[in-house]
Formats: sequence, structure tokens, C-alpha cells
Amino acid sequence: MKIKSSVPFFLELTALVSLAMALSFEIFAKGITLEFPLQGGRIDYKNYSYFSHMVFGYFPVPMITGIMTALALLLIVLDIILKRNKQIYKATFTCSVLAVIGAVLSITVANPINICVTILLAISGLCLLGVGKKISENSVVE
Amino acid sequence: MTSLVSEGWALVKNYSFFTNLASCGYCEVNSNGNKVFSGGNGICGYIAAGMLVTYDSVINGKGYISSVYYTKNGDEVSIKSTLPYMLYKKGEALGYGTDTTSVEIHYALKSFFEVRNTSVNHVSYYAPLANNMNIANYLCDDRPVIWFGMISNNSFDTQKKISHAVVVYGYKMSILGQYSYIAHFGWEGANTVSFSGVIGSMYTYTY
Repeated sequence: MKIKSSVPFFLELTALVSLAMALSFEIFAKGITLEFPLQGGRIDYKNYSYFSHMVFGYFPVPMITGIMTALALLLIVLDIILKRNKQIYKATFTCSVLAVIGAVLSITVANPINICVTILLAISGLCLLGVGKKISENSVVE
Repeated sequence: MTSLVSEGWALVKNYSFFTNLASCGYCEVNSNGNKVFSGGNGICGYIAAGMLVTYDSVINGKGYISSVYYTKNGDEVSIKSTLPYMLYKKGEALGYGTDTTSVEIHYALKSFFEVRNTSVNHVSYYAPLANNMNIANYLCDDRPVIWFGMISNNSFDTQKKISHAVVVYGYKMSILGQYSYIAHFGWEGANTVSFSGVIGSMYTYTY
């Protein structure tokens, strides 16, 4: 089912930009801090990217967040190309929500980069929610 | 020792090896790759691997390591720090650093066993294959497991949300299905630490 182009394009574009920025932070910045304990109560702090296998080997949530972000980005691009398909929108929104949940759960191993990622994912989620509202409004009109 | 059983822990047959372990061979590695006892980077994965091979050498008579790497007085075993450091060097030769997950330990131990012309079945899983049920199965099969993950609370100290590799030798399941483990934490004196947390990966081997 195609949705009328009255859905504000800028919301989708904002979501796309936010997701792209979040994904680049997840890949290129070391947004996850693991705390390795040493004998005597000392801690060895190590920073990793969301996609590091080291992070996955200790706390899988950040990598799942990263995968969901990448999927949401891919789907939103597909959604724009296919001129807003309702099914693809639903999948995009689900991935985006899962990414936000993952980012929030990852706050236990957070550093400032992780906070930025969480904010960017939340922005994209809110924009997609706005797109969804417009889609339902249009469906009612139709 | 009997108290662990009476507390409801399901344990490997020779769990007393871990509860009586006088030294786990704790050491650290500095930025030059040399062994130090403080001020370096932790090598918890290699320390845990050292305990695993010593367990099979001393308790199960497998002879994976010579007595150069440990001392034994009655039931009391002391692992020398040369063992985890030697395993670290195996990992270093493969391009690994001090931080390890089950994969690094898998290949470091593979290299260790190859030198000794010994064949074992390596079991290395990441989540979701590394899960509570899988670990419980290996423990029931009398195989201690190296648990890699985020520990949310433990009985040894007040540290929370720590990423650590420990040798699990017993487990307990609550009525609500929550698992907690008993492990050697890879520090001197941390022989009987109960903990719970989120698992990331696991390693053990069978023969």
C-alpha cells in the first residue's frame, strides 16, 4: 500500500540523518566502556566500538543496538525509494524502537559517545513516530 | 565444602580443586608485554584458562602441563603465574592482546594443545548459544566453564557492572528460573564467589 506524499518529508529526512549519525558514531567512535576488574579492587577501563567482538563477548546488547540501527537506516532509505510503503515503515519503526531500547540498556556501559548515540536514536524514533501519525491520518482520509 | 552442597549448588565432581586452590597464578601484563603483579593490564581469560588445564592435569590425570607450572601439597594446589603468562604468550603470538573473549582463549588453547600433540574438542560460544542452560549442561557433565560476561553483583566485593572472565564450577537456579553461579574469580582468595550477570560468551573443552 502506497502512502500519499503529504507525509512530511523532512521528518523522514531528519530520522535518516539521525540514524546515519548514530550509526557512524557506533562504528567509528569508541562508545562502549568495559570495566575489567583487577585484583585489589582496581579497574582497567577499555573503550570499544559498538561492533567490536570484545563488546559482544561480554555484553551483547550494544552490538544488537548497532545492528538494529543499521537495519533501520537501510529500511528508511528503502522506504524513501519506494515512496513510503506502510509495511516497510512498520519494520523501520520497530527496528528504531529496538535500537533505542538497546541504547538505553547500554547506558550501563556508557561514555559520552553512547549518550549522543542514545539521543540521536531517540530523535529518529520520535521523527518516525511523527511519520506514522501522518500515515494513519492519511489512511483515515482515504 | 559440604556447605556448598547444602546451600543447593549443583557442582562439578571435583569442585574442591577450586575451593582449595591456594593460588590461581594471578599476574598482569604491562605495555611492553612483560609479566607484572600490579600496574599492568588484566589477563583474566588466560588465568581462567590456566585453572582449567591445571584442573584436568591434577584432578583428571591428563598431564597437559608439567609440575613446573604448579605445586601440590596434599589437596592444596598452587598454580604458578608462569602458566597464565605462557598462555598469554600463545595468544600474543596469534595477534591477541590482554583482553579476551571465548574466541581468543579457544585459539590460544588450541595452540597450547597442538604443541603437546593433544586433541580436545573446543567449545566456544557467543550469546545466544552461550546461555545458562548450555553452561548448566556442561557443569552437569563435570566440565568447568569459563564464563565471559557482565557481572551485576557478586559475593566477593561491592563492584557492579564489571566485565570479567571467571571459571564457573557450580550453578543454582531459583524458583523464578534465574541462574546464579559459583566461580573462582581469578584473584587470590576469590575461590568461592557467587555471582549473577549477563553472559556474553563461554569456553570449555571436552575430551
